[in-house]
Order: sequence, then structure tokens, then C-alpha cells
Amino acid sequence: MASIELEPAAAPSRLSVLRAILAIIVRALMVLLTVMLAVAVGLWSSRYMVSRGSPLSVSTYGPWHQWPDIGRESADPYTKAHMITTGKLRIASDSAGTFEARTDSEGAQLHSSCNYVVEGSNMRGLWWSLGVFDAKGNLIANDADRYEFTADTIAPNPNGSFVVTLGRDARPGNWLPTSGAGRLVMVFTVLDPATGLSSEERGERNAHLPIIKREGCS
Amino acid sequence: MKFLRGFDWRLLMIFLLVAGIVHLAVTFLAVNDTRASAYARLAHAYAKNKMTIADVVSPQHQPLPFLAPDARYAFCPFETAKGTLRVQAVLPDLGWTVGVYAPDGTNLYFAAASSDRETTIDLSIVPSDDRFMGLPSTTAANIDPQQTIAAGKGLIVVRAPDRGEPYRADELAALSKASCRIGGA
Repeated sequence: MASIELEPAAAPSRLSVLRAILAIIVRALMVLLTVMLAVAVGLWSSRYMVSRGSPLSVSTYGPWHQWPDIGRESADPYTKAHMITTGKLRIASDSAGTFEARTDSEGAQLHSSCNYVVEGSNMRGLWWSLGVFDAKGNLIANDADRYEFTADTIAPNPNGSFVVTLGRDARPGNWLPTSGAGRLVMVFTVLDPATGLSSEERGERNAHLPIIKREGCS
Repeated sequence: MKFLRGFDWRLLMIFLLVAGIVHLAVTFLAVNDTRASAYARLAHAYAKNKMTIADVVSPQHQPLPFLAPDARYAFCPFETAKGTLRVQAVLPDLGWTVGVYAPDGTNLYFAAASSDRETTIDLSIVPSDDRFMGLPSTTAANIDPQQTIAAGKGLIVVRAPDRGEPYRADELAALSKASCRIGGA
């Protein structure tokens, strides 16, 4: 009878055991790190899309951003979360256009260390207001008690257009003080007429929003 | 190519899956967390089912972020659990508006004044159950269906644009005519 002689298996060395354990630990750490990174990215992306919006929920016209579904029953979750978490009270976009600008027309952040000129066209009988806030939405305290201009309080040009200046130092005309506020947010609100606006008229309005020019910074 | 062969695609899948779940969960939690909403802030500050003219908005008194002093406001946080709420207001000129908001900020009703004539608002807000279940209501009998909306709770905002010092007394007088009350006739 033939017999096979089996050699006893060599016991794994301590080094190979250590290597195997190390490989498992590294693998577990990689998974843990991936999960932590994913949680951070998920949190950040949600917060960003809720607070600032994205092309999914925000329309952009030059430096101006509008949440087109704000106030609507059918608004997307980002728009609804934006309204709820920011505490803003906005008129639905079916009845008014509310636009926010955090940059000038060149794309640079609005900041109180700079002077700006805002040039708006004739709004053709629509009631509008232009206000300036700090980044958290607080009014900027100033001795002149000036926080906004409206269709009623602005000194317009003869052709109905208007110019508003923003800066630290007092200037003649329609000046809004911004001293010491840091980053700025401008809000431009245009009420639709009582009879409403057609989508063409709304598009025309959105195409002629004010231009924000930076004059200089100190 | 060597890099791609060594890349752990399972980790990428874990990353995308977890990030997507966290993103959606946080977004939907934010939608349902109304603690910081405009309604929650104003419902704490103003009496329910009563129209209150707010102080002039200023840096010292700014009830909501991004609320400009371009207007005087009257607020009425409401609950219709005890019956139909009657809302009345006069909008004398361009820029005057009335809005009814749900707690999540949805506009349930909005009216703006026209430039050529005074607009009178007479609106009834019925409890949402009555509306949807068709239950009979004694107070709802004389309500114009065109001016009736259904809402359990929310916020009514009357907005009077600030036209400058000479007009403020007249604006305040017109704003003080705005009212909201349960079962008001």
C-alpha cells in the first residue's frame, strides 16, 4: 500500500500575523476615514445648498441671485429649508422679485472697506426697494439712520433711472452707509403690479436689474 | 492605469453612499425644523390672533434677518383651532401688501395694492379640517369662497411702504385699520 507522507504545516511566523493584523487595522481606518469624510461632505454640501443655493434652486442674473420657487407650495426642499433656517420672510416669486447680491458685477465679494455705485434702470411704475445688510442679515447701524432706498424715497435721475452709492464716508445723493459691517449683502425687491406680470415681463425685469460697480477700497 | 488598478472602488462607493444619505437626511431635517423660521420668531414676540403694529425696524429692533425698514409692518400670528379667522385691511397705495404665510414660509395668500385705487381686503381663514372634510361651520356660512383660504396656523403680514416722514402719520392710521380676529364679523 502506497502511503503519502504529509509535512506538518509551518506555523505562521509572528511577523506574518502582525502584518495581517496591521492590514486589517489599516483597512478599518480607511473605511472609518472614508465614512467620516463622507459625513463631513454630506453635511457641508447640504448646508451650502440650503444657505447659498445651487443652480438647482437659485437663478442668477449678474451679481443678483433669486430663489425662484420661494414661498411656493411646490418649492424644492432646498428652497423650503432656506426659508425655514434663515428666518427670512419673503414674498412669493409669483408676486414679487427678491434678489440678493453678495458680489459686485465683477464677481468680487461686497465688503464695507470698499465703495460701490449701484446703477438701476427705470422700473416703470413698479415699487421697489434696495437695502444693505451685513452677512448675517443685520441692518448696519449708522448715525444717518439710512438703511435702504425705495421707489418712494430715492432721488431719481430725470429719465427715471437711479444711482445709489455705498461706502463709509458720507456722499451727496443716494448714499447708504456701510461702515464697519464687513461682508455685505444687498437685497433688491420689486413688487409685481396688482394685475401681475407675464413671464415675458418678468424676464424683461430680471434682465434689467441694477449694476454694482466697485469704486475703490481702502 | 496603475493608479486605477490600485484604487479601491468599494471605498468610493461607501463615500458616495454615506455622503448622499447624510446630505438628504440633513436637508430634510432642516425642512422640518421650524425653530428658527420667521413664523416661530414672530409667534413668540406677538400676540396670537391679534394684529399688532411692529415698532419701526431699526438695528436695535429687527425682528427678522434681512427685514428692511423700507416698510412699517403689522403682524398677526394666527391659529384657527377655535374657529374661522377674519382678516381685514385697507391697502391705500402702491407698495402696500397683505400676505398670509404658512409656518414653513409658504405664501398662502398675497395681495398688493394697485396704483390707481384703494384696495380693501376681507379674507377668511378657515381651519384646514373644515375645508378639506367639508364639515359644516356656523361662522363660515357667509364667507365669500373667493376670499377664503384654509390654514391651521400661520402668519399674516400687512406691509406699509415707508414713503418718508410727511406720510408716516397717514400710513400708521391706515395700518391701524388692519385687523385679524376669530369669528370677527
